[in-house]
Amino acid sequence: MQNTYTPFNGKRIRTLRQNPFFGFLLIGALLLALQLTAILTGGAWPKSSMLNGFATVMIYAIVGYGFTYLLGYAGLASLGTAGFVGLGAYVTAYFLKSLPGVPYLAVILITLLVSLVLGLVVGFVSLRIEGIFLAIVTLGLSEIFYQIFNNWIAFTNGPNGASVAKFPLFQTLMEMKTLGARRSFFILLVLISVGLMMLTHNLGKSSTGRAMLAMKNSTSAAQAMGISLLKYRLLAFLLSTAYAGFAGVLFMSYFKYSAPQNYTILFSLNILAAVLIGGSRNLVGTFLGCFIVFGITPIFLQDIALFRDNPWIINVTIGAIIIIIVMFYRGGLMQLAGNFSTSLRKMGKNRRLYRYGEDD
Amino acid sequence: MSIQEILQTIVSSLPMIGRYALVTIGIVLVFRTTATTNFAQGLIATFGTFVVTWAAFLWTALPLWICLLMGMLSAFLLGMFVDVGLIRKARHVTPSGKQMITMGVMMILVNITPLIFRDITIWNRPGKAFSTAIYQFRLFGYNLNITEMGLLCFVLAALLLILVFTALKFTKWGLGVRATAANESVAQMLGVNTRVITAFSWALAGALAALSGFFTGAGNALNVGLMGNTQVFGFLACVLGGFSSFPAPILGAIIIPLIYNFAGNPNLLGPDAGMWQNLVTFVLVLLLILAFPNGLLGKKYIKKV
Amino acid sequence: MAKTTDQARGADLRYARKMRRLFEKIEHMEWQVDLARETIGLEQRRFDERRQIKVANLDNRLKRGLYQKELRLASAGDAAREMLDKRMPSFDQKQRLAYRKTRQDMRRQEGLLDKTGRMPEGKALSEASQEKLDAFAARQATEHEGFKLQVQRTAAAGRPQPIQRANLHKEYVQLMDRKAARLKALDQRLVARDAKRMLAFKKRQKGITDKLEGQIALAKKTLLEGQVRQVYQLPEDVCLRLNNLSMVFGGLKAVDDLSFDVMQGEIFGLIGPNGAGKTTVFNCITQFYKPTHGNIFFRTREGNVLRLNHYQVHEVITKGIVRTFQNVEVIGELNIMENLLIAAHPQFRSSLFAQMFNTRKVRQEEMVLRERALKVLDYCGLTAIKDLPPVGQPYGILKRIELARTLMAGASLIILDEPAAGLNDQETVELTHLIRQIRDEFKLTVFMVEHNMGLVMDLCDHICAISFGKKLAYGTPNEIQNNLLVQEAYLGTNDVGRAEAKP
Repeated sequence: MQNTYTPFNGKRIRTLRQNPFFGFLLIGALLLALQLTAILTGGAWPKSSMLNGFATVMIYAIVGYGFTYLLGYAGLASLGTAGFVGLGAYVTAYFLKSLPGVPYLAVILITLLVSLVLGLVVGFVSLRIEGIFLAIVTLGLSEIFYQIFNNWIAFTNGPNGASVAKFPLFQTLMEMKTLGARRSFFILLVLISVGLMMLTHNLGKSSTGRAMLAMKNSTSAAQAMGISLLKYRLLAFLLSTAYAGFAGVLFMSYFKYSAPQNYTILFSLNILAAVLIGGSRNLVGTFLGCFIVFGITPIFLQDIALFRDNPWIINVTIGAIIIIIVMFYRGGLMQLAGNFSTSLRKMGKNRRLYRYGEDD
Repeated sequence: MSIQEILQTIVSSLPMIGRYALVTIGIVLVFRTTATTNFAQGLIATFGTFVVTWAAFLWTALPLWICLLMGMLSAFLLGMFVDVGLIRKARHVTPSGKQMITMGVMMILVNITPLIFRDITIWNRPGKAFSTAIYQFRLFGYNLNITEMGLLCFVLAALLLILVFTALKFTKWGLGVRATAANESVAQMLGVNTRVITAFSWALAGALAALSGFFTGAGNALNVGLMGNTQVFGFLACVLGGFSSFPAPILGAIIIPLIYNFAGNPNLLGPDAGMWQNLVTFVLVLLLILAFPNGLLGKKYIKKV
Repeated sequence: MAKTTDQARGADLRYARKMRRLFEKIEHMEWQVDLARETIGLEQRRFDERRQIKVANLDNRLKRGLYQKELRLASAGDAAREMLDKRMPSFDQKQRLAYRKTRQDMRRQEGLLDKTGRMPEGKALSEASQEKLDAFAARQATEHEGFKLQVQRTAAAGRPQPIQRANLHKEYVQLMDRKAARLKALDQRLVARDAKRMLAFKKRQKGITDKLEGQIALAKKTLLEGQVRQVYQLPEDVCLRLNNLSMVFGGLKAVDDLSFDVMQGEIFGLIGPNGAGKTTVFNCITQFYKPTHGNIFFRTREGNVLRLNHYQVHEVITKGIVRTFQNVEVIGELNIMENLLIAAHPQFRSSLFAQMFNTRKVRQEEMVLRERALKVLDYCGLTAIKDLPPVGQPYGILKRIELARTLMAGASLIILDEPAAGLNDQETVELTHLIRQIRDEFKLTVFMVEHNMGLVMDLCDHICAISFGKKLAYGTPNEIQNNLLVQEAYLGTNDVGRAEAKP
């Protein structure tokens, strides 16, 4: 017959699910929905502690996205990220407290500049030192940062932490809308987060991402194909420190307080764990990893006395998860999810075989 | 700084050198046989030290050295367990991956240890305090002194090191370790029981590190972060000395304590020296590492393309 | 590829640098012109594809409305056939499943199955059960027939009365016409819109190209007036010249005062026993090692003569030299298509920020270079597996990927490191043909190191034999075969004919 049609529209140009940004937009939408419900219920649920937890996750996830360049694309092990986040936070605090006349955007740019310069230094260091020794050296660097944060009282107020009274950028908006500075900043955070995810994804899929992967897999082949190791190693470090510094700025701006105890090796290890858990190149996975490592405690478990009084349970679980993922699921949670759906399909097939026998 | 002060600083560094030497020999043993940098080393040592304290408090009649042996044994077993249970199963993982496994072990241990040894924080048995005796002696015409515990630490460490190196050079086990360090699969094919060798290396590393932890904590407050600084410096010492041979990191273990103690001298860096001691040491060590990226005694391997 | 002058060591550094920058600017503009031109064809194709999809979608939607009407208008037989076509498969499926379930249950009752539910070879149902099963099958067959009859009856019953039929027919014809009209209107509208877009696009591209070409012409004129000095000289027909090349590692002289010429467009072979220093020569040419003494001169496709010692490892490919590796170094974390795109990495010229924001230029670049990669994949026969990772592919395929990578780079000199290693005889013959074909079609020079003497003698125009880093002989395959020194060191002195290489 002439008019036989196909029930499912032949071919679409591209479905929504295939769009690489689908995951990012979904996460952004969920977070915005949470904030909206909070606004509508007047703060009853989600509680502000929960929202703060989500903000923490988002901010640390930004560090994670930068870290994916280092770990997932360039294959460099660096444990110095904590220092750079702290750097961002403290430079912001310094400017906002001591030089209040400087516009917020300028503060961000200056922080980024400082992070980039130091990242350049670390990058050059990485060229001299190979592989796993780099982890040890960056560990030392992280310790240096910690010592500076702890001891340079004039700049960082030492172990008591730096605090910022005025909330930048939204002070005036706060008077106009009734949302409140922190809520507006949360929304801004969501937009920044999703935007950065998209940018990171684009860069990873482009020739730069491919070049870094080539460099990671085989330095000789990469060099023979015209990829300068110097350039791409430095680029990986610059990107990751820029992201980390920016995250520090956001942290200080949102929470208005930060202590050096935050920025120890444990923090770097946690970021590493979060990225690993999610799958070292997968951005949605990184977000989920950060959620697990940084988010579960403040968001869900504050209410459960068992977990609040025994913080070790979560930490031990995270340590165990790292070990399991590295040993069995190198691709992280996303690989696990992929394996899970494959195994579900296989289970279905086996069940059909059991029920109906073989088809001849 | 006068010569008297210089010599005194050097002598005061000896206990720290001893402690670090114990830790670095463990690190390099583990690294060369299993290509892993064990980030959980410090925690295993801390665990062992906690066991010593726990045993000492529980059985006050036992002489201390037996408690010490118990602590070393527990660290021995823990090290062996990590290797057999985890690292060996993770054969196929890259060295960075194995590094991350040890980080996971570290996170677990950091949280579990205070749980198991809940009430033990002070490291001084009632009625049986650590000796605070100070020995005085003359060297090159100068009066120098050293604490008894410090001297004990240094002498013990030196003896153990000599023992380990003699074993490495002359015994069958030592030959096996060097063979495994060079190429594990070939060593296996040639009949070396690499499984026993790697397990024993990890265990030995743990025990030696526990001894180091004992001396670090003796007479001081004991907490989970006991070996934190030592571990970081220990790794830096290995990188500084060079990983390519067994004795090389000892050089790093000698240099770093010297730098640390000289940096802490108020005559050199002013009255705030104590605060900046760590920072100065880190910076100097990192600069040295940058100057000698393969270690002071290390060799560069050119990959054949 | 790049056109740069060599920096004269010492004097006139600034001048040389200015010239080099001018060359690079010209090259960048020429790339933009090429990009602009190539994207036109691809844009047209993209527009066409999208238009076809849209039209097909509309067609499908409209058909849905017309389907029922056509069904009613069709003859009884046609209608029955159509309805059966639609409904029979699911009915058959249900029957089949029921049959299999019954059979499986019977088998399970008799204990014939293993724990996964399979029946092992050799076992069979008992006769009684088999009879029951056959009866069941027969019942199903009758049901099948019954279903068919039922559908046919429904079809026959649903035939409209003649008056209704006439009306229906009129409606149907109207709707069909309307559908055709709508489709045509859509198509025309899209064609018009695409044509307008294409026109604007072409105009914009032409604007870009015109402006750029003007700038290029100007720059070239400045260049010519600047009296570019050729610092190094090479005869016209020589592609690569090694001059007293030496590579010393500590106390070991891996390459000792080696000199030879590689002619333009020829296939050149470097042979010698293991440890003779062949791979070291490679690495010196491609600047993986910096030679301790000696010079390497190379004539690029544009005719410039460069001294390769000046350049760094990752710049060599931009001059027109690309190499393969002895241990096939294929990037495991990228799929095969992306491996080829890596070889074209110097041809991706967008900036970092452009890549982050995925601008139109970046997308155009990707499109153009992916097209080129598809062509190369097709040429090497790798299209079927282009989206798979190279992990787990057979060794011959990996070698072909490496070869495809060299084609992608657009080089004028290809260096092959033991291309036939690990291939069987059949594959080696194919490789011989492929290399010759590539050389003829792309007008390249091929330089290879090989142990397979059959391949070398067959393929190479000239051969150089080395041993312990020193040159033994240079000449045509015949001359090399008859050379006594070479025979002694490498080939073996038994046969003068097809000699086998001594390991």
